Amino acid sequence: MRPEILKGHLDALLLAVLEEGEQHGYAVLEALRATSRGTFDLPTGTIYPALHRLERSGLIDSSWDTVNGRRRRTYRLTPAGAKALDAERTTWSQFSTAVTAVLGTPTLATGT
Amino acid sequence: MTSQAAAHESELDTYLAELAAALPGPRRRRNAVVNEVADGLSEATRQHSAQGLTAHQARQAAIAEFGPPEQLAVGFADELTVASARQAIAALLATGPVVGIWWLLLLAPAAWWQQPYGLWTAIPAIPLVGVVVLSGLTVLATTGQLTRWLPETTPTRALALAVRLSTACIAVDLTMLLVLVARALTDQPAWPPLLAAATVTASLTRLACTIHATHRLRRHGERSTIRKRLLARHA
Repeated sequence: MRPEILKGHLDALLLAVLEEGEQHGYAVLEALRATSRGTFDLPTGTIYPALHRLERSGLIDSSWDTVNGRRRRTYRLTPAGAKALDAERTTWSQFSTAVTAVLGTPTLATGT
Repeated sequence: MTSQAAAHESELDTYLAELAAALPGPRRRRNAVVNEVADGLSEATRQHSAQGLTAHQARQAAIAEFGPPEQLAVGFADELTVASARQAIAALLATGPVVGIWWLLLLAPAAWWQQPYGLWTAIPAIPLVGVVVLSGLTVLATTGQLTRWLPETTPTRALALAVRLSTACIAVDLTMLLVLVARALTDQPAWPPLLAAATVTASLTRLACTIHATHRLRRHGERSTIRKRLLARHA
């Protein structure tokens, strides 16, 4: 899938992944790949800045733990993030219904 | 650990060192990014190993997955730029009252709260301080959690505003020091020596710190721009 199609929806996708439970950055990437059955295979480097931006907006927050001697940053959805995700779902539902309605209209064949 | 294993292990260390060198911004935030990427690389390596690759192949695959360190660093540039700007502005807003209180104690006329115009005459930098405070709070609001409701300030613009506000604070401190010298020469006021010394020390200290911070912000902006252009050219 062309990356520019995904661009406007990345935040909502990340919030939806974190709705399932707190995860570290690489796990979010893997969950996105798995849930989309490989359709959303984003460059690894784009996930972390996107998560940082969401945290700056207060839609997710993070905490640090030590796992196997490594520092691990784990992200979780905030109540504001859950609200934002609901709003995104409503917007997407309206948008996709409208796009389907237009794209689903068959073109009339001009035989002559 | 065998020498071969050590060499392979150092591949990740080399990658992380190159990433650390390429990242701009506050040191604490850079270190946090490096730690997070280190964890991600380890997880990626583990997953590639689980798919049957050798340890070396798994590390190579993980490094390839994350991409060249310079390219990865550019991806973080915007967030680190905002972090730099926010940190600088927060420091200005926090130190303002700490320095301002000394100037108020030294120069404010008696019962100044009953005659605000007298205060403005005694401390002519007050309007500029007001502009700095309002602008600084606006940038913090439009780069933080309030972006859920307010239009967001872009990273480039946030950095530019942080530089301008830092420069304005330099102007505030310089103005006040000049006012002090002028009044000392013309009026020869009977200021308590310790109070005057504390006021001048506070302003000079903040002046030095702000000049240093402004220089770092400018360098940050230049490095980020140069890196993005280089990567765009090689893309």
